[in-house]
Order: sequence, then C-alpha cells, then structure tokens
Amino acid sequence: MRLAVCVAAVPNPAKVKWDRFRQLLDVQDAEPVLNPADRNALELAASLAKATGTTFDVYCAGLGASAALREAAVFGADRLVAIGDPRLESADEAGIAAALSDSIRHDGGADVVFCGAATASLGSGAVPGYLSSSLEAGLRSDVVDVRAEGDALSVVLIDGPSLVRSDAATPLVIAAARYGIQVRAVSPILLMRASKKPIEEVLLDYPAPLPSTGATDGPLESNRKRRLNETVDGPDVTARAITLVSALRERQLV
Amino acid sequence: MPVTVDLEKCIGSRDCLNACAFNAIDVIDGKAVIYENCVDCDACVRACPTHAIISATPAEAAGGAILVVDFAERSGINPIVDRTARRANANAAGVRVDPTDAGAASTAIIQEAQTNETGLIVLPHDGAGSAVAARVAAGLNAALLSGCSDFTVDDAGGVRATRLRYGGIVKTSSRTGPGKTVVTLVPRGPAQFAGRPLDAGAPAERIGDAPSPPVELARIVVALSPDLPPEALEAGRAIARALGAETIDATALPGNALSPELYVAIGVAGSTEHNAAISGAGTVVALVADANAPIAQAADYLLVGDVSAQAKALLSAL
Repeated sequence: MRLAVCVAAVPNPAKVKWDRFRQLLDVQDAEPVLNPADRNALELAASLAKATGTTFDVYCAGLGASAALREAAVFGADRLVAIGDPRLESADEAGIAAALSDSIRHDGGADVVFCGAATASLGSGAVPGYLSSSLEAGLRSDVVDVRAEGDALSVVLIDGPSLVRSDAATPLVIAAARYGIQVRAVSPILLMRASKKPIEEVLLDYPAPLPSTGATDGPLESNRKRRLNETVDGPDVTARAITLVSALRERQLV
Repeated sequence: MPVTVDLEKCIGSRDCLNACAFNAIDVIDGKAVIYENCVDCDACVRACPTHAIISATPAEAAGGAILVVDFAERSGINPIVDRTARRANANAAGVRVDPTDAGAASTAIIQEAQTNETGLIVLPHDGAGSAVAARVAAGLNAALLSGCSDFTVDDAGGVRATRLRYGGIVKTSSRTGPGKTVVTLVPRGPAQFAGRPLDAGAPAERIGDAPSPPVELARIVVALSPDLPPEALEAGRAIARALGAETIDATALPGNALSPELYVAIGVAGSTEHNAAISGAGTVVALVADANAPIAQAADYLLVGDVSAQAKALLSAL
C-alpha cells in the first residue's frame, strides 16, 4: 500500500497580526511553518504505515515547503518532496491541488492520500476535494482513524455529534479531522534529527495554466468588530435577561 | 446592490444605521443610503420600522436555480440560505445528503445539480462541506467560494462573498464571474433544515459520540471567572449546556484568538489581553457587577448588577 501526505507551509499563525496603523496583515515575523492541521494527517498516515508495515511520502507545494517538510519529517516520512514552480506563488487551492496530484501521479500514484482539514491561512479546506477529483479517488472527510482490513480500509470519522465507521476502497483521499487525533509533540531534538533527512526538490511538470477556483479576492481588511456597547435596560434582572435573549434570538444566535 | 431603499417609505429613523455592523449604511438628508461594502446581511431590513429597506436580488442571476445542500438539521446555514432561497423565489431546492462517504455525496450533488440546471450550490462550511464542495466544483467545472461568512448574487450573475482568512483576523471580499458557482457558508445559528433526502450510499455505522471540539473551534463559548461564587459558576455551566457551548476559564484563554459566533463572559472584568483575544468574536455578551469594567468596551451587550442573580435569570430566559 502506497501512502502519501500533502502538507502546506503557512505563516506561523501565532505571529500573524493585523497592523492597524498600516492597515495590513503583518506576516513579517511569521516564518513559514507546517500547517497545524496537517499534523493530524501526518499522524494518521504514520499510524496506518506502522500498522501495514509500509512507509509514506510527504509532498508540499510552493513557498516555505522546506520548512514544512522538515517538521513533517518528525512523523517518520520516507521521502520529503518539495514541488517548485513560479506559478505556485499565485496559485489558489485548485492550482495547489493540481500540482500535488501531478507530482503524486508522476511518482506512480498512491493508494491513500492524507491531507489536513484546512490551512491556517486560507482556511478553505478545498484541497482534499480537488485532489480526490483529479486523482479520481474516493473521499472521506473529518477522519480520526483509519485501518487496513485486507484490501479495503475501515475509516472512523466525525459526523456531527457522532463517530461513525465506514468501509472505503482505494484509491482514497482522506481529510483528517481538526480534532480527536492524538498528535505527537514535535520537540526541538526530534526536529533537529529529522532535519538531516534530505528534501527532494522537483519542478512541476504541469502544462500552463494551472487550474483555478475561479474566485477573485479583494484586499485583506481587519475583521475587528465594532461593538454595540449596549447596556441592557429593564425594570429588574428577569426583564433584562428576557430582553437580552430576545436580542440574541433576533440575531439568530440562540 | 442587493438591498434597496424605498425612499417614499424611508423616514430617516437611523435604526438601520445602528443595526449595520459593517458601516455600509448612512442617513443623508433624512434618507438611508446603502454603500458598496454592504455584505447583504439583512440587519437593516429587519431593523427598519417602516419596511423601507428591501432585499431584492434577482433570482435569474443565479443561473436558473439554487441548490441548498445540508448534511443534517443541525448545521445552521439555514438563516442565510433561507434568505438566499427567498430572494431566489422559484427554483430554490434544498437537499440533505449523508456526508460520510464524501465522494458519493459529491457525486449525488453533481447529478442533482446537472438534472436541475443549478447555477448556484450552497453547502455548510463545516464537517465534510468544504471537501465535498471542492469536488462538486471540480465535477461541474464551477467556480468555488469556500468559507464565506455571507454572500449574495450580483446583477451580472456572479457571486460576491465575504470570506474570513487567517483564523478570522482578517476578511476579504471575493467574487466570481457569471456561471456555475459552489459556495460554502459558515454555519450561523441553530436552525432546522427541511431538505429532500439525496441518496449517497449506505449510511455508516454509528460507533459512539464524537469528541468535543477544542474551544478555538466552538460556535458558542461561555467564559467563567474563577472568582465567581459557586451558585453563579453552576448557573454559568448550565447556561453553557443550554446553549450547547464550550466553557472556558476566562483567565486561561488559549494562545490563539477566539472567534466564536457568540461569547458570553460571566463575571469577567476583561483584561487587555482577554479583550484582545476575543476581538474576533461575532457577538460578545458580558454579565458584570461593574458597568465600568474594561470588558464593557469589548462587549455588544452588557448586563450590569449582581452576577449570580443575572446568570440565574439568563438561564431561566433561555
């Protein structure tokens, strides 16, 4: 069984902030790191690889790929593949998925491709869907566990308030759940050891132009809310509480 | 512009101006004026005492039909989708699909959209929604607007949406051109969804309860001060249960900012760090003893008085 994991490099979410004086998103101090949600995908892949006595390869496309792959190596990847192409700098989720699927196919395909649920930057969660389409693979989302049972897979996933199990055939794209997966800690020592693993740099062999989602984004703006600062009035505590709940119901919050 | 003002009915009450969270409306010479940055949230429509502000998006612009897809009754995209469907007049159809096999769910949605010549497909940006939406978009060769907090159909038949980025720190206005579009919408509010079931294969076997999401992903958060008296703490926890919310110790907020739809702070004075951490929250409610507590500046709604009594009253009102 051949396993692949697709990861992304994102600006360190803990260091991204809105600069209210310059009115722009300040990512200057936010070095590229492994997308946090991708750790869940790596953990699932590592678990399945261990159970089936196989290995897994990790693919990352675009800027900062090396930093993300170094962190991904901690999870025991066999190969680390950084996909380079100037077009990736402006590629959206559809373009990134095309680059990843092209590289996976170039390496002989994969039975199971793992992805994180969404990136900390765009947060769209679209890559697994695009990947499953271009790889003509099945798709499971919100997955917390996956096991091999003969030629098939048994997948446990979150479906609203329930955990459910379903069988799945390969090839399969799995989007790991954002929670419910025990992920190992990445210590500096592990990171240092893993950093010795070589990163293969491959050039994208995809005909121009890369596909796109068809959406155009405007400039980023602060999402800071203007607060109402409204003190709820009423003759007594009960009346005030009822007024508040009415206001929340009006805003469809409760 | 999807929202229009009937100038004859407008009395310049300014209720719309107060209701608008986007500074997208003003009252000039006694009449409401809608600006370009209107995100079509309809707050002004609801606030207008004379019904002078009207939602009027042309249904035809959506390319013939809107297909609203939900995975369950619980997702809560309905308040926004219902409005879109209302504006779409005819040809709006709702379907429910089991997302367990996301590939099969995508195929079923694609077939449904092709059968009904759907121009716009809306899914929840939750659970399997984003992955299914991308696969549907690829299958239909449609544009994809994923992670929208709101959207509207423009006069040219494209879709305009507000999308949050970087965990909700920033937002962007996105648009697609005319043609098929798939939208995923961040769920908002509890609602029931009465869609026709769509066959997407055999249902999966339920094996237990899903784990609780971390507080960073919770839709509603109730923050409790550790200094609260026991009866207020108990009422606060009961409020959280009633709201289906996650509770958190207000003095131990996580490193990442919180951006729940609703944040209820009980007995929390609101330090600078605390207030900064909740700046991305949709609506902030604070129950405090002191009207001059710092959280007053960070709150939308403030209940001032004995916190225990207020918490109990709020629990009863819910």
